[in-house]
Amino acid sequence: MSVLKNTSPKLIVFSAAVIILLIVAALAPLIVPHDPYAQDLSQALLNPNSAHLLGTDRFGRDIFARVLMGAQTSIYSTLVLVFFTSVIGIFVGVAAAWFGGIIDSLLMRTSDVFLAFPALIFAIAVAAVLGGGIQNAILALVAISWPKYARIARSLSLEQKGELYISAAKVGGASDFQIIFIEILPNIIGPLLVTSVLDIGTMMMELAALSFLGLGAQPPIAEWGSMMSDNRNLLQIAPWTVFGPGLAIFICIAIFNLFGDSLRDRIDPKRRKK
Amino acid sequence: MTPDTKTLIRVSDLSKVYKKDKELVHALKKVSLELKAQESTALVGESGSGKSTLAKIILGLERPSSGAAYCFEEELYKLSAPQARPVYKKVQAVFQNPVKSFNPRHTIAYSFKKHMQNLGYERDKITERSKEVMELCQLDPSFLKRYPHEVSIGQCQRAAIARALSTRPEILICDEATSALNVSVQAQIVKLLKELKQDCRLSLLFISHDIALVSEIAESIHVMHEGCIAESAKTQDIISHPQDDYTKALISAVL
Repeated sequence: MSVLKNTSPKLIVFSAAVIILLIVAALAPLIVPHDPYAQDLSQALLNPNSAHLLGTDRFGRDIFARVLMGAQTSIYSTLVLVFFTSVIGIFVGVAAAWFGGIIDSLLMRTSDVFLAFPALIFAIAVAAVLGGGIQNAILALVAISWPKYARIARSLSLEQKGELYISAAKVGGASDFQIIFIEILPNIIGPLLVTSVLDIGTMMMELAALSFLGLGAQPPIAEWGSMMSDNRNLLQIAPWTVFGPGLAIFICIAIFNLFGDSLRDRIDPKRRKK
Repeated sequence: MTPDTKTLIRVSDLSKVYKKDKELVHALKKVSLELKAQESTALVGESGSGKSTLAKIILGLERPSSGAAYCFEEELYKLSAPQARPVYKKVQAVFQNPVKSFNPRHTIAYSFKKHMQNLGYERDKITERSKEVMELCQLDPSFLKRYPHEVSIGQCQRAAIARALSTRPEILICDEATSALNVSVQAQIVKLLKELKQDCRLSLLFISHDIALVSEIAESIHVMHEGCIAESAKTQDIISHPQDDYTKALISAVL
């Protein structure tokens, strides 16, 4: 109950929005008004109307249905991406801070190498080597994004490392594994969680950008980035084909960012002290 | 001193050199001392005299630059966590800031549980033993459910002592254990430690900057000054007939 008492109405509203988003994306195949993959050339490039809320594309596929289906691909791949990025990054960062010395240098120099690449160019290179496809796009973005988490986790852990409770745990016979997972991690997870939620927006955009470049989701899979890319030639004659997925990306990123902001207000250690 | 009392802690020629802003700081210079069973010894000195560094090395939290510190014939800083556990079962520590010596994210009960589990206490007796040591340290066992910031600093230090005693150690190292407390609480903790020393047949290594406080609890005192032991003697002798100039200054400052 005390958790709810301290929760701002903002946070409740945005968490509800995120949950609705996730449910809609999960249930997309059941709630789409039309088959998102069925082509009907007689219905091509229709204006938005009551039957087709966001109009149709040049193959006569319903844009609204495709945007809903795309939510599944876009949102869940982004969540997978953010999850793996942060887990790998956090583990590397805490380990570097705790073991120090040569392990620290080795891990941090490796992360420097990855940080030195321009993100999108590296992702393009990975996609070029491994081929297109949403899994490879995720792999490329994980490879390029983990160092950020490693750096944050390392500096947060270094602050904790000198604390007395770590000494107490060591004298209590705690192993390195226990110190990392039981002692340090619970004390640094808050800010890291906020960072990863705030990163969902950016990651979604990067994933969409890769798809837009043809390196992410492959047609005919409905994905917002690739939908925009497919239809970009039609921007002048049928703008709704691009606006639909564009609007979806915008709304989604806005919701996740606002959720991240209110979560930060809740978890931020400076505010928590009050 | 009976001849059969065994040596629990033996420090020989211990030196520690830090590098700070490209300058070498000699925290400890060839320090030697011994702690025998059921004896209570104090290390006294101003901040920067190296007394805390010495405690950390004995506890295996830091490595010495040269020399050795044996705790039950083991050099703790050379051991891995599983190897060190049998030793930590016998030597425990209480630190300066009681609230910070508990993980802020865990309840006191959880910290107790992890401590006892790691040191090989029988699992099904942990809850019972937690309550027992809380009572031993004159704390209500209901405090176990709380987080460290939810109890007062004096209660927290009692809990820290309770945690340290939970595995029935033979030595308790108190590193400035009363410095963060106000005077009346300080007196209570010293009283508690004195009682526990009797009841639990503990040997104490009491580290403090306060020679007046230390003289109440310790049988012998080592005065530390700039990384060296300036003087070692029985408490009575040191208070009434200090030999070293630094000791004289320290005593006259208090009395």
